[in-house]
Amino acid sequence: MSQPLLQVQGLSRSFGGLAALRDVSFAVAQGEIVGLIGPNGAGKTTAFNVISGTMPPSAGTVHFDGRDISGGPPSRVVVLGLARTFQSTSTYPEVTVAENIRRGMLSRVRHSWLRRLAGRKQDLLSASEVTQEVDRLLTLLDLQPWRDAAAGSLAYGLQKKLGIAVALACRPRMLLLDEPAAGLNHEECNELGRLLRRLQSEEGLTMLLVEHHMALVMELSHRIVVLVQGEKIAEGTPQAIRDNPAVIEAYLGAPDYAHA
Amino acid sequence: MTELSLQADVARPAPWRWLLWAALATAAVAPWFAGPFVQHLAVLTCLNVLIVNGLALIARCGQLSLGHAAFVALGAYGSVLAARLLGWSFLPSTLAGVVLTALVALVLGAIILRLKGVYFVLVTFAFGELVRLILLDGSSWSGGANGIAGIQPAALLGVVFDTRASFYGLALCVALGSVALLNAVARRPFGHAIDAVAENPALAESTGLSVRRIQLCAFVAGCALASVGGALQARYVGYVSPESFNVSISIGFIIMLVIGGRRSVWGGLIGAMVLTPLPELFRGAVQTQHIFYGAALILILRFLPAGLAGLPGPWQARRHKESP
Repeated sequence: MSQPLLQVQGLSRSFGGLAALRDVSFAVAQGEIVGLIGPNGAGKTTAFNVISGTMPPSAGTVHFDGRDISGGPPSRVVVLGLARTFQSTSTYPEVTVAENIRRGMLSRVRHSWLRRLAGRKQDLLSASEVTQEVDRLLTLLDLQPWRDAAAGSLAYGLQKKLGIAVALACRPRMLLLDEPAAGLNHEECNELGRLLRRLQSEEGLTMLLVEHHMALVMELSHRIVVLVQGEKIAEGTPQAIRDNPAVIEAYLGAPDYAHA
Repeated sequence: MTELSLQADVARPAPWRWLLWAALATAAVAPWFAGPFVQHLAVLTCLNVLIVNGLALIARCGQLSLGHAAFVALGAYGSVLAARLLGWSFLPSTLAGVVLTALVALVLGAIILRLKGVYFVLVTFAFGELVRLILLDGSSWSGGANGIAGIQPAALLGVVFDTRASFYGLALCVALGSVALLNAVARRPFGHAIDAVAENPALAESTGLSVRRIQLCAFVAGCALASVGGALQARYVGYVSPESFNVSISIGFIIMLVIGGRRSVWGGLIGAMVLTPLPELFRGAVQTQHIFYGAALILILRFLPAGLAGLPGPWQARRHKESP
């Protein structure tokens, strides 16, 4: 395997005396979908926040594409190509769906003389390119019918999909998904699975998926990392994880307790 | 890439637009044919447009400054002292006042912009009082409570703006310039970024917009606009004193903004045009004036939360009609 796209090394994070993450290391290769699972309170969200730059780690590093991104800020991490979605819906509720996506592209269209001085003119998009890209994303996520609807008026499932569209508008190379299936019904969940797989195969998008919905994680992920009480207890293919005694114990309790 | 929302303008009904422009042009020209009192009000209105537009820029990214008058004061005192102590002429001394204000806003903003909502309001209020008290206390250089009198009138390229009519021309140009600036910003990606930051900072940050940097830019620019207003006001009145910049003045700016429309690029213009002349109509009965202010504010907040700019018509808030 060549150099991984995301490399998490010895990551720790504590809140006061509570160690939410302890010495967690794993890597995600280009084009891979990795699931991050664990029971409630395992430190999944903390790991997510540290990787996306929302909070600094207490120890350890996060490297994206060979660059140290530990400690953020998120806006810099995103510009490097690592975008995130939010667990609950997060949109600009007052403006239209199309405008939401357009705002997602702002960091790529913003006139910045500093950037020009640095010779990064080629990153800037023209107005017609913006419109094209908005159309492409609306079609990709089946959001065209709601193009001119206010984002806040959409159903929950659609808002979550819009959240993914806004993240994709940053044209990331890797997407961090924070419980994308939370709150979705069975059908929406299947659709989400198909969408994510399509993003991986057609767009070559690398993904780290924090998710409670086991069926979805098992189905989508190439590899799974299991966190329990802030520590990584297992890592492997979905099949290996399903059969791993330590994982079964973490989720269902040790056999001893069952007898007690 | 700068014209992301140009389509919104095309969709406007044309007759409304022409009527509006004609009315505005008439209002702008009328003071030259009116008496000195009307000209005086027109100058004050222009200065208020400028200052409230600065406040609008700050409010647009989701922060409410209750110390806006302090930045007007910094611009006024900065330019007056530069002229007095260093002997600088109008333009460089005004620039000195603006640069001083921008620097103070930059340092203050970098520290306090991370505060949200009511905490930001409180800290800006405290800053406003601090500036006023320093000006009151520094009698050796600021004249203390007596202020500074005998300020030279503005002069530019050999033209001295020492009459009401001529100064009105200068103030009108600057006020219209600030309206044009606000419009230009609202159309540009930076304006869209400001709106994004105001509506959902966490999402804006996670799509690559630096919330801190955008808020800081808007805060510094808004305070700089206020300082231009302060410098001009000092030249026009010929006198500055700390009490011209107390908290009730700051509140007055906020009222103008809210009544004009917080979210429209026309809010500052409308608010200042309506509220600057109003107190003068009630000069005879000071109590009535305050009751009117209060009642108007309550009525507008209740029935027109988007301010007068939210009334149906061509000046409606731009940001709600942005899709092509």
